[in-house]
Amino acid sequence: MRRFGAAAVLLYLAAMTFALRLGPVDVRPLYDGVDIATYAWINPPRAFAAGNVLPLSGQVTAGGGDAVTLTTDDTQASLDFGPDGVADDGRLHATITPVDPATLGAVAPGQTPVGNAYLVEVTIDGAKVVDLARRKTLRMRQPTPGATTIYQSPDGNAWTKLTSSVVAGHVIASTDRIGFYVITGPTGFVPGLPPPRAARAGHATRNVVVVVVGSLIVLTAAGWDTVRRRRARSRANQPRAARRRQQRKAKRR
Amino acid sequence: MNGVVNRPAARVTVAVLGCALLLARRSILRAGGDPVVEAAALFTALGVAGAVWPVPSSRRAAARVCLSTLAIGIAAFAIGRLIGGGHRPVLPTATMLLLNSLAAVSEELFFRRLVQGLLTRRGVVISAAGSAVLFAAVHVPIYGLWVLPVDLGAGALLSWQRAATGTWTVPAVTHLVANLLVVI
Repeated sequence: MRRFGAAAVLLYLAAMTFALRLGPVDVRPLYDGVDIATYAWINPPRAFAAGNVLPLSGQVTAGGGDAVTLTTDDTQASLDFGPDGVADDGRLHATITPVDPATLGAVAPGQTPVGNAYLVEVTIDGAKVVDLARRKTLRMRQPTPGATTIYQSPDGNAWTKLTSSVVAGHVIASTDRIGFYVITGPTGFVPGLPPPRAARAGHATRNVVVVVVGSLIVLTAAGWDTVRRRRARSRANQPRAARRRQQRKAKRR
Repeated sequence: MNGVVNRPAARVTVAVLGCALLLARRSILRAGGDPVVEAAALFTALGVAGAVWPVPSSRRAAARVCLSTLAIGIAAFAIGRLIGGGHRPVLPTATMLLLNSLAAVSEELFFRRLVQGLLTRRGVVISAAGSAVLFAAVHVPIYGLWVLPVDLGAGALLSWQRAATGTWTVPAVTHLVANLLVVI
């Protein structure tokens, strides 16, 4: 059993060392996969307005050659510069800021921005960087199902489509250009759909109550099972105890 | 009633249904309705099924063994958290922390008490490996194939705890702490 335990611990630690680096997103997996975080909109559609929390920005400063990931503080968007950062020397400073896409130019015919646009700005030793030497991985939380493509623009007007894929509730693309990024869906795609999901934002107290009640039901079921097992065990032990009492009485005689 | 639930076909059915529910959870939670309420209902159903379904009783280890096994599990997840890096997947709100705790306890009731308990007759290795493989497989639709080694390792660790202590409560506490370590 000890060998089995040691093997299990080593297997888990080896997987944690390598697998997360191979993954498409730099997000730690929950061991039960409950990933239902509410999207924070800078300008929420009416359906999501109740209880909306404003999205956060983020920044990072690092030395040249350091591993750098720029992430918003609410983890909704990130740009992974990779293990070698941006340049071999110089000091990197990068910021990522949510922007209302309605304030930017039209993306492309047939495409509508969904969720927040994000503006990434990078300086090395104070000098503004527009192009990156190598492609970097951009990850943006999917605002709603159906929003699957990332567009990039240096100025918020001329947009370029990035090859995108959806993994674990995130839209991922690689880019070598700095500027604005936005997730889009087909025109006519209503970000508030499906409608019942709109109710979720304004029901924080109700949600806590629902989860607490669920937890109590599970714990009660588990407790009931334990009590049932103990009773069964004590019933099974009764004849043996009675036999022992009889043996003790016989010895005394 | 006991006769029905003890039939092999009934056991396989409940295990398959539970796994199918977990495999489809992403589609269920994205289909509409309130995802928190749906996730709470899903994990409550899974936890109740895992708690009340009769399984062969196993011998519980001494408190000292349980505590040391718990400590090893928590230490492994804490080290894994440090060496793994990455960003937290969600903000640690009250709802998320509660829901993750419910999910952790329910999954342990299902995989370690029910599935591993039902496989115990086939030996310690097969029962532990079986529950670990199923545990890893149901997480793939959420994150993708790359998560398989991580969840296989985590599942093996939790299954070993269940086998070493004879109780599902030790892996349940470890799983709960592991989930908290991910979001803090």
